[in-house]
Amino acid sequence: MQNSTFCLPRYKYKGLKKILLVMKLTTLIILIGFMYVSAATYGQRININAHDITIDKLFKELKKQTGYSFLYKSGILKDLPTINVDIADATITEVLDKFLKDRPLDYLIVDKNIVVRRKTNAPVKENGPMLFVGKVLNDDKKPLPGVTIKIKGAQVGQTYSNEKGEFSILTISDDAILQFSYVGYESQELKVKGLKNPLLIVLKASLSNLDQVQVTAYGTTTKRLNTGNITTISGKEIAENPVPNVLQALQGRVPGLFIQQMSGQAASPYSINIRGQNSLQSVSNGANQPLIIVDGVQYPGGKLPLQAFGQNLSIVGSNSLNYLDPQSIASVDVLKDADATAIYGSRGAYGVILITTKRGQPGEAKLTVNNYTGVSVRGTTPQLLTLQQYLDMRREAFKNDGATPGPNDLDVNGSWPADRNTDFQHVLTGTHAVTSSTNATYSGGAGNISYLVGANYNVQNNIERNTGDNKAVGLNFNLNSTSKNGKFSITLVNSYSSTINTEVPVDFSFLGNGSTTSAPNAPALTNPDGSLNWNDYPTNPLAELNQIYKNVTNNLTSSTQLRYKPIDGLSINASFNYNKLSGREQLIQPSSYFDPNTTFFTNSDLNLYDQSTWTFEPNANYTRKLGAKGTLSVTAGATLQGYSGYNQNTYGNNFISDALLYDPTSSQKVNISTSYNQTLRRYLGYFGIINYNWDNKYIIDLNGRRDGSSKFGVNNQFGSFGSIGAAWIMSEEGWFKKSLPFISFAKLRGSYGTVGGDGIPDYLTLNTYSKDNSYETSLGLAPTGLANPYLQWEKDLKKEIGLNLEFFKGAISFDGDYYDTRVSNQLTPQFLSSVTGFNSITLNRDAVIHSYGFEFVLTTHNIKGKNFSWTTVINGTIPKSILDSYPGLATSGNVNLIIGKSVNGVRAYKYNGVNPETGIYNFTTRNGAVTDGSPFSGLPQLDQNLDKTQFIDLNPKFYGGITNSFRYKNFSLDVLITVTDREGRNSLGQENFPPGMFFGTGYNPTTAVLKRWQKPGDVTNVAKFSQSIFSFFPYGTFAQSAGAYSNATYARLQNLNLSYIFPASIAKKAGLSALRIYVQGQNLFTVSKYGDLDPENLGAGMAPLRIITGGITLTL
Amino acid sequence: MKIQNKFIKLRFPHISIFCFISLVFIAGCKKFVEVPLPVSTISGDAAFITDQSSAAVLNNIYGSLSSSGTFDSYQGIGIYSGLYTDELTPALSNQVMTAFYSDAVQSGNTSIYWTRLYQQIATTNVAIEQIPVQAKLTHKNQWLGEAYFLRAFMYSYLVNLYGDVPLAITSDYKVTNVLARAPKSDVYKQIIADLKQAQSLLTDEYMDTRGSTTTDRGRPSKLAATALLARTYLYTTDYADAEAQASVLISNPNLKLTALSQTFLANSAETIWALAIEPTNLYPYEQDYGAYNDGTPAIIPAGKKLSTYVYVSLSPQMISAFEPGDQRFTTWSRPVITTDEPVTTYNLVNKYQSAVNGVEYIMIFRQAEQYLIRAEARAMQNNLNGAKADLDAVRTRAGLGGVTVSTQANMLAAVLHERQVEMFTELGARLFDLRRSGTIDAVMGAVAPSKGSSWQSFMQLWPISSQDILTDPNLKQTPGYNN
Repeated sequence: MQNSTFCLPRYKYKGLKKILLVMKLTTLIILIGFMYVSAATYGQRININAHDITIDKLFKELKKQTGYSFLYKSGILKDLPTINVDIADATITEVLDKFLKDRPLDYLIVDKNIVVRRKTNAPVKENGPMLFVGKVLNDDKKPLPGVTIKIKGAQVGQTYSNEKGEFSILTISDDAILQFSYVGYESQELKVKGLKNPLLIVLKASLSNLDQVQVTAYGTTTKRLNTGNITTISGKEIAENPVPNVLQALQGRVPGLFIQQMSGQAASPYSINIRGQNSLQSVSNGANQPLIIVDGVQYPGGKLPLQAFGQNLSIVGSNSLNYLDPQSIASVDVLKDADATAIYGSRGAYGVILITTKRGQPGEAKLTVNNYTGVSVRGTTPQLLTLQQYLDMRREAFKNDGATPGPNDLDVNGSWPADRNTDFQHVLTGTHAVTSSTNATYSGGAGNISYLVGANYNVQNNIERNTGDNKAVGLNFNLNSTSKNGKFSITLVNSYSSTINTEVPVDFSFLGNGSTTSAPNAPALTNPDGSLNWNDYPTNPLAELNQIYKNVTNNLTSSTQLRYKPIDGLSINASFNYNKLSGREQLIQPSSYFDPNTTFFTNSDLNLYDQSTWTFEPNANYTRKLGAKGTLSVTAGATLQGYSGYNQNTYGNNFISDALLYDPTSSQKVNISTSYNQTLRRYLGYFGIINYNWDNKYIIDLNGRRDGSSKFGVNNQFGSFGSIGAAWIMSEEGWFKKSLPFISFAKLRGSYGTVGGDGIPDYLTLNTYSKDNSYETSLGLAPTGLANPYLQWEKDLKKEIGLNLEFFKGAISFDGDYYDTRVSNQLTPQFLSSVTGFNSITLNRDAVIHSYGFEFVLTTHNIKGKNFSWTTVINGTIPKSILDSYPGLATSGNVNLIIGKSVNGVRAYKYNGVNPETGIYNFTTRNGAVTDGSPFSGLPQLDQNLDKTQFIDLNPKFYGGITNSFRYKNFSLDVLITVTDREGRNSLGQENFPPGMFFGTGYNPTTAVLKRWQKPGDVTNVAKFSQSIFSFFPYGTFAQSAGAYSNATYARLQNLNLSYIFPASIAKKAGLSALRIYVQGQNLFTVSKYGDLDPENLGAGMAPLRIITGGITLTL
Repeated sequence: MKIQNKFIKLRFPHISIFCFISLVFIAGCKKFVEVPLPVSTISGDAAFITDQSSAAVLNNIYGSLSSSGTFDSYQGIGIYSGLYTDELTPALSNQVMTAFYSDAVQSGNTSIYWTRLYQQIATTNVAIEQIPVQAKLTHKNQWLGEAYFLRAFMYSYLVNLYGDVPLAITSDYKVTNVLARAPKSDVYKQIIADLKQAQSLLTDEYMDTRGSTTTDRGRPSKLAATALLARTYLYTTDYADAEAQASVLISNPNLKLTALSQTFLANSAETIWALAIEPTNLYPYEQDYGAYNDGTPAIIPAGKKLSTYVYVSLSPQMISAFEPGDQRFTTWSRPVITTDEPVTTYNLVNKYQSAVNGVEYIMIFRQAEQYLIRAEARAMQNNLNGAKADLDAVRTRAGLGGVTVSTQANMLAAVLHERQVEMFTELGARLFDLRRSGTIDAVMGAVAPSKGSSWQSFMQLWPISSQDILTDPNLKQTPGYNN
């Protein structure tokens, strides 16, 4: 054997040597008759013209042309005569049949290998190498492609079923056990002894999701083997939500992930938080903001640099995921603990959301088209007083004040008719709008290449009573290719989307906008001839709709991943990722926006912005057996990241013609102002990971890394961090199986580690001057702030322990986690006295925020029948985030922080309801004295710091969701109900004016004010009506008291999805391979005592919309 | 049986090269995380190196003083102190205007000036530290003189609005963040020292941002330093020095009392220093013109209210303060009539009459005040004839006859009255005069009930930022205010 030249990789393992060794044994011949020949699928046509060549030479030539490897013992070709070959356009089998027929040789094609051997007549040995071929089917007797087939315990020789479910595998001895495994199916094991070819394997759909693939930083793992905390949501679950942003689809599905939609308007921002607020820095600096990675590409977190245009800031700024089509997503993985996020270093300090888009699968090309169309309906709408209630309120206010209406009280002094009644909400706000989404993908692949091309077109019409819509067009493709020898592979993922939002940024349903709260008998907004009523409305809200708005956002995502496996076990990888999110936003106020009888200046405001992030991530992984049953995996690598963002704003006014408004520079020079700014940010991290898995029973994962960030001072840019994660799969222990047979899986895992936080603005370490107020047309320079060159990493210590259990083969499963995070060396804003000339300076402080909580997911398969099944998934989170310590808190200026309390809260005056005798607000000072909050009453004055003795915790106390999934034959129904328990500012605390007061065109409050005090003895929370300007003061105090907050707990029917899959026979008649129709509903019903406002966004803007759609998915 | 692999032999060098390159690359990456300065900034060290950049730092102070709502517009010291005293009546009732009009101000209402003035002081502190050590400045004296003047100017308003105030004269935030209030006298000492520095560094010529002489009076010259010094001596009862400083200005041939209609025009002969309004300031409405006048028609059409146009009108007390025939009443105020019942006449402040950018500046120091300063200083020194001469100069311009008083007390009362009708709505002059003269409790005690408020003596000073009291443990709120 010394000279043998097997063209196989050099395996060191005895097992394979044996396989090769026994090839000279001749058990294979009998198999040839029904041999599964995959060659036909590789369509290479062979052309050879050669004379006097050896068989050896022929094989080499065939290998060159087809890529097949030939395996044979070197000796067997000896003494064979040379041949003349003249082949044109033949297949491999034709060639082999022709030239081997008359020679003492046989061949067998196994995958891409051709085994050539001497013919022999030896009988089949009882105990020897065998080739098994067969087919894998699912419960429905459909072929299952991609099933992993391996010999139990062997490290090599693993194979997969092809698209027809067919496979072939070699075994050595008859005591071998074949394992068949596939995600979502129960694994099967077969003893080789006595098996007869061909095999027919039927895999049963599994209840367990332990083998669901979970995406990690540089690869994948399974729920079974993961040492970290990852929650995976499948693309199927996301597709059940007819929503424009995937975040809406994640709400209530992921424990530890709290998502709040700030407004129902298109392209609105979201508040996202994983495991509580851990930093005192604001979200806009990147603190408390999970890292969002789409196909390896980092998306901008937080808000985009959009203009506010006078809108409430909390609803401005959009969200980068508004520019990703949710239908294109294959899975979302939420990484939470130190072990799971460690590899992202400081970038993942606040959790990671990994999004993977759909990929092409090898197989016949498939075209899938999905379309839904439906209607979005206004959500919770504040109930305002009716005309009669309003007038009664005003008259009662005068009576209470002992006053009579004056010349300015137009609503009750006879100026305005008492029977004129306008429903301003109806006039200004719409009720519904059409929404639709179409997504098409074409995917397939053969051999070493798979591809997917997708496109989408989504339209959301504006629910406000004006034209404008939000349209998104996107195109994406991905390509995966592996070299013939399987050593090199490349994956390209690209997507481009363009979103055009023409909805004027005005939200009449938001009470703070003040347009719908005019007195019901106020004059109409339009004159009888339809023109705008400028006489009574110097700023007519309907004119807002004459503004022109256009925001075009382009999102380019590109990722290239290279993988090279020079030797078995070693993989060298590199990925280049790039994201560019750029936009052009323009708001125009043409002449129709202004009262034509006044001097007005038309405006045009153009905002160009661009955010580009690139990353380069080289790494190498080496995996090998270590110890009898252990596998060691070592990874080392680096991440280099650069960010550059710029903003350019051009503003012009006083245009000579509306036609010129689209160009803000076409005004006179003095009427134009522009600004430009640019931000650069760099990040660098290097890391090493060691993972050791002993027999799938004990797993340990060590991470170490060094991170550098450009946000810190020159000497403090780098920090070292690390983590350890471990898992013990108890159910693999013999004693466990014996004593607790009903527990089919039990894993105890924990992790402990540190990461760094850098959630502060850029350039804080630099002392700089930049352009500010100019004077006499000469440039002015102002200091940009106080620099702190000593800034360094915030330190985030994360601990977690988790238990994963499955009972009765996955019929019931439970995941519970307890986490504990202590963030120290906090980057805190130290507020400064104005005397310094600055507001604040950022310092590292020895303050600690302690976040801890419990998360769980309980899955029960209540009924599992042939025709009917019912599954329930319950998840919940009990989060807690408190300030543990804060040296110097008293003089830090952070007035809402208290040691031992939540860091997301407010301090408020103690509110004692309304004085039953006088009907005015009743507050208690820190000394117990009673006051009414007015500086005029002569009662004790409240100190706006010391007297705020109450603390309102605004963090959620609990949140979670319950999904019930029902299947009946081809019907399926999924219902998600979400629950959130927390406090929020109530509608009384958000009124713009004290009820009873007249301002501008009157002020119509919500019906919550009807519970007001009316006569001595009334016990209520709402003060008596007053029209006096002085009622501002007690009301202003009320808004800062505990009375302005109430419980905003709610349960919401968040999502309902009913679908029907047509039987294949019907689909076939329609010329389709699959056809599905469905009805979906989002945010259908809410139960809450919170009242007039939506308990999710707490009145910050338009309530999240209710969406009802119908759709169809067809596959060609 | 030996199994060979050709590939390994071939490719191992490739791996080595790859690893090597990666290592070199990563090792060279320390530099990678050092980013250049943002494109739109210059480093703090470079801010005072050139004349242009030094002037630019000062430009920003002037620019913010003229546009941030401290010395201008409907949120400025002029309008709010006018409401607070007996000069103005609000046309519009909003919470802040009500607080000032009702003399019920809280920290949040009045601390905006506190914050803005100290913000500019911090910049002047840096300038005063940095400019003297620079080698390449051609107009070093001009910039340094302006910085000294500006610091004194900010402190003069701080001390008049809030009484004792912290005296921050260093750029070290660790020092200034823990300052207690310094006695008013110490602050005045610093103001006088700074102004003397400014006088010695500046010239009588007006300079522009390049350090060249100009006729534009938008940048303070030695004249402005002298004007503030005269006012400061008067306020600190140093009457001889007040008279001396005022005399310097009164004898300056370039400064005159102009016709009433021209007093507030940009670069009028009466201007000692005025803040220019940026032509790029798109809304002149934000300036005093917009707050007081804003082109309100003489007859307000039906359905419109005064508040449609302006926020305030002259109070009854102010209107009755004008003597018959006082042309200041007819030139510097104007009547408007509402059409809706009940028909009402309002008198608007009409010192600023133009909506056109550049026609008027925000007047800070003008010659008439110097006459009034000298009149008061002379009266205090019992030079009644001298006082009468100065007072009559101002009265003659207003079309009035000379004063006919014989006692010192009456002369002082006449000066105070003249200041009321000459300087109304000019940056808190009335509030400061009432307090200086000791008449504030009597005058406001009488006026307050008509405004629906009750006056208490502590109200003559305003409360400071309550946030600052939290961050600076040594800082106390203005007495009488509890937050």
